[in-house]
Amino acid sequence: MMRARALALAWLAIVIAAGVWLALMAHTGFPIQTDLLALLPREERDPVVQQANEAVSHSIGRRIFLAFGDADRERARASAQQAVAAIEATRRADPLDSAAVQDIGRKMAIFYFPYGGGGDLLSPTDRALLEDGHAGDIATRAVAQTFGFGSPVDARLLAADPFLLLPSFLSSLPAPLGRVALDDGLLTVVEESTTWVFIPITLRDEVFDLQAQQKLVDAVDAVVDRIARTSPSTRVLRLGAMFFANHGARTAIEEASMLSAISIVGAILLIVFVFHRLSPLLLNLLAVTTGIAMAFAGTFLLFGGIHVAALLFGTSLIGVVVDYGLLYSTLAFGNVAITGPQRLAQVMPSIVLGLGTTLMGYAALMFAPFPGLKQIAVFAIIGLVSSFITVVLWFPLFDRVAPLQHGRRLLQFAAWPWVFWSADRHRQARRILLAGCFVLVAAGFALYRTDDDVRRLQALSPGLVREQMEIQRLTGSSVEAQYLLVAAHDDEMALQQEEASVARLDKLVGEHAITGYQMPATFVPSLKRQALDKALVEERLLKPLLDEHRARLGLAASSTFAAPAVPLTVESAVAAGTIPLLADMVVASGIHIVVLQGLTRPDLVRAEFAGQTDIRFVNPTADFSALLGAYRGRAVGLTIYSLFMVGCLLAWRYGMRGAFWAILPPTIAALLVPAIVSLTGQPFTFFHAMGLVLVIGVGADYTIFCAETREGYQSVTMLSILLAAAMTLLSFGLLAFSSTLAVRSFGMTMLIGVTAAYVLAPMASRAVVRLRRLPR
Amino acid sequence: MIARRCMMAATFGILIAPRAPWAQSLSLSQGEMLRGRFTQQRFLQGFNAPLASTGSFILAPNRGLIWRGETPFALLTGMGPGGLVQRVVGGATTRYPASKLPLLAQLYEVFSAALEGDWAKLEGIFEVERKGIPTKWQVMLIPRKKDGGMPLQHVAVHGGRFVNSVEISRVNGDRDTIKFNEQVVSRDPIDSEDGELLGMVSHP
Repeated sequence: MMRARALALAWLAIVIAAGVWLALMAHTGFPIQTDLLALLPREERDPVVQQANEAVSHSIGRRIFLAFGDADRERARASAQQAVAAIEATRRADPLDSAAVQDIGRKMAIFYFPYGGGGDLLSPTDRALLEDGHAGDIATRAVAQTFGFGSPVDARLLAADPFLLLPSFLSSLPAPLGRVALDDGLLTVVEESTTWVFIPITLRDEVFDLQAQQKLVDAVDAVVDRIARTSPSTRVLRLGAMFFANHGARTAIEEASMLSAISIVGAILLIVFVFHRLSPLLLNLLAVTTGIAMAFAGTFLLFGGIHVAALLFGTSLIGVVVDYGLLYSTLAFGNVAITGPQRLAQVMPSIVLGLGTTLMGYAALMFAPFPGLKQIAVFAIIGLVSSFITVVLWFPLFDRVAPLQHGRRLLQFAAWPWVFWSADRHRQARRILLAGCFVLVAAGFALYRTDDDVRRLQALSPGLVREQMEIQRLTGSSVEAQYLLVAAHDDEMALQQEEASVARLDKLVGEHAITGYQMPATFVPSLKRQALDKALVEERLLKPLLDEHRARLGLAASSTFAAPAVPLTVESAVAAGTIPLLADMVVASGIHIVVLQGLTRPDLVRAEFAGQTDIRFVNPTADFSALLGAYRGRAVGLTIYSLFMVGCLLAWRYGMRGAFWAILPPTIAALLVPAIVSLTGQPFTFFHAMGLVLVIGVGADYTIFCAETREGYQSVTMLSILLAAAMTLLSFGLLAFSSTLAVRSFGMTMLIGVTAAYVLAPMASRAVVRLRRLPR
Repeated sequence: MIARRCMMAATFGILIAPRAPWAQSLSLSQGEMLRGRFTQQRFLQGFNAPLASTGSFILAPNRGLIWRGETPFALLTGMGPGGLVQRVVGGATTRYPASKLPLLAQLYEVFSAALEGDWAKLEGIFEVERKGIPTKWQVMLIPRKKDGGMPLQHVAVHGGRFVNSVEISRVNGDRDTIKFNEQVVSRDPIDSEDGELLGMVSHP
């Protein structure tokens, strides 16, 4: 008794410490992550692809776009400027202002200037002209530009670059924003008398940090509201991963708060209704609160933060912890008055075995290489163990409930599956039920199909999707998540690879598989290409035509061109930082990204670059989907493994025959899930499969509780299982109504699996009871 | 490139702009075009002699401008809201679409503003000083933003019924003068090549 008190006090100290730490953290704000893709497996096979994927999603994730459309040009511009000011004021993002936009061209011209005249940089057109022997055209063009209308050509440029090769190269570079043009300092497209002004914005903080995100989204929302009031004709469009992530997080948090409110209110009502007492409610609330608080603290400690999905799943998982407390508390319905420690002793084998099997299920989640699911597993395991400790150490100390006299009908109601599985008169009905299950499973598996498309994971806001598509249509440019990855020994080799792939990319543009592409080599030709171009210019242009050309222009002769001080390399260009997006395309030395625009036929692109290792098509969506498929298979394997482990534990306790009967209910429950999901016409997904592992854990709890039941306590046990199932359905089953497909699939699994597990559980106990009676 | 666009915007705007406030004649009505001849001299630092060229031009409201250089080289330039096209006679045609010349949209604003006599827009870019009488006037344009990418010192325009001359002084000391003469407003049809070029530049 003294030892029990000492342990209870020690546990109290730990719980209070965790509570204080949580309270301190709540003061500064909990580090909650919202990137739903963090739930996905780390690309384990290829670190290069992973690094590139991160670079791409980082660069896409940090960019957002706002567009302001109005029939009145001034109103559109004023709205855009209002938004720029509001966003600048948050200090969390940098809108590209007009001075910067105008500066890009000037800075690039200055950067490229030293490489112009000698032919280090050649536009594809000029190269073709020289190769085809039309050098004269280039000379004539230069003269035309010098004499032409409003010519910007000055003496300094002509002296350094008499054939004006550099302006030609500069104008051959892709326009960064498709159709968008600069109108008095603002990026603008005019379409059908509507003026659209675009504001590109770069985020400073990590886009998936909820607080940074929220402040910025709030600022954007506020300014959009103000524009809607002061200038009702102006339309505002948004584009950016941040808006989707924020919407996803908000949906998840709103759902989580609503579902947990229903769950908590439901649990309170249920317990008060069953016990007619407050103390079982308070004890069980204590068990759940301790579990959740410890789980939070543990997850923060181990991961430094918590993913919003772990929060959503995790808080629901904790619904299982109520099993142990309830099994203890329902003992009050037994006829005999026993003390707290005696009650504990009576339920101890059940809850230890139950915890053991459930932990096996959750521990299986740890093997899933999904960072988010690992958090969920850790969260659930700490929560379960904490609640278990609370039940074991604290319940007997505070338990003052005398045997309860009410509840006869309730016990009778709860016990009907027990009666169903043990009474002789139901023999026929039992056979029909089992046959029914068999037919369901057979029919379901005939319709069984799977779907691993990762895009179904997230509930994308249809409004945002429309806005995004409209912006992409207006600007005529879209940056795709799919790209070509160039992996070479060094930057020079990578550039040569890119130059070698231009013909194939142009062919894909011709086939309308893509609308365009951007690669580092467009901005920085390989040294090899620069040398070849230089030789070509020397041989075909400078030697035969330079003197004549200079005379024609009236330009004083100066014999040679000074070689540039530094060769033009990717390294120097990235360091100079003057070429927009170049740094985003260079992941590391030798690892480059070719950005694809307007991708409509990924299959053609994949086929074009199939079988190559140094340049290949990366389609993160398809890759993630394929991985999800692989892990769905693995999760099913995990379910079977879990069943096997539970079976071993049961065989150790009940012998082979008992174990067979005890393992049957969770097995049938687990088979019914895919069957019924298929019968409703839904595809079976990875998240159904992950739910199956938990169905095994919960189902094993119920059969163990039944098997461990003492004579005369059958109805009491069944009441506790009924309560536990109701609690689990209140927490898990409610997820079946989530708007996020992944969560909904998980909820469906629990709804079907837990219901079946409750109904079938006494099947096991019937066999075990028979076994137990034999030796007597 | 930016400098080039600004320069064109300035020149182009000026060519037609100062007429409206004196309102002697020209607001071109539908189908009317302004034609004339020009002599351009470019005084570049480091060159002994100015680069001189002569030719003719056609201004078609809402469609664009054709600038036909005749001496020393045959060179055709068309520009409008859709961008800029240059064609060397017997040689290649080079297109600069408006999306690659972002300031072209502004140019077109200036263009149409000037045609409609909308001085407010031009005054947004330049400080405008006017002197003289309707038959002999002078306008001085000075860019408002010194650092706005427009490397112009000032632009001086002389005119009477039409614009007679434009002088553009740049920050780097270079200077262009363009003299206009034989200007007429008519509804005469334009030839097929001019029509083709206008077709290429009249739509964004």
